[in-house]
Amino acid sequence: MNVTLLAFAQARELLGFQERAISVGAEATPASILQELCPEAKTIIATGRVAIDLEYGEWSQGLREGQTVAFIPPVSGG
Amino acid sequence: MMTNRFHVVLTEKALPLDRPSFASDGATGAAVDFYGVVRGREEAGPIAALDYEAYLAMAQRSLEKIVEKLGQEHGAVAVRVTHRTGTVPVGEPSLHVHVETPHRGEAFKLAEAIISAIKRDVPIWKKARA
Repeated sequence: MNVTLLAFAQARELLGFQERAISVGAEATPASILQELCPEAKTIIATGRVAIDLEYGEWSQGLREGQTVAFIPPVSGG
Repeated sequence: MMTNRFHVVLTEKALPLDRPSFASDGATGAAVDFYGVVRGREEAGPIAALDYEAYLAMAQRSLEKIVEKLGQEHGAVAVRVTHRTGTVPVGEPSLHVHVETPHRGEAFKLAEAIISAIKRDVPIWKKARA
């Protein structure tokens, strides 16, 4: 299936992209995708959150065709 | 969907510092305006500005949900939240929260609750610029 990845702030710096479209297997999860892409995946997973189609989700949840997965480091707005 | 009592804006422009205006229906008895302002010093030393990055679509939705939920819970007459993105120089506000309630206790509580929720959940990041 095809999904779109978004990376922000420190996650963008670690991954080296802001947006990327990729094709993954049917069993892929946000955590498994990140582990494929980045040696620092554990750090991002331990400290950050993932959003799927604009809502916070779980690193281990399944994905569907066409979804957007965003890697969200600790936020610091305000 | 936001009601017209509740309003959220993300903008790259400087936040307006206008004279505050209040709901005209007579329900407001207290208003709190909070400004988050860029300090000239962070932990690592003096800075010139903060660069704010946002996941705009999600930040807008997240702010709307926060304002709607907390505004309803605290019986707000009106809530307006404006967050600036891009480069914000020292001494300028990056965040404005305006709340109106019938009595002052709820206004202070609501403003604090909104600010805490923004800092916890809204996908916005700041980075110091020396």
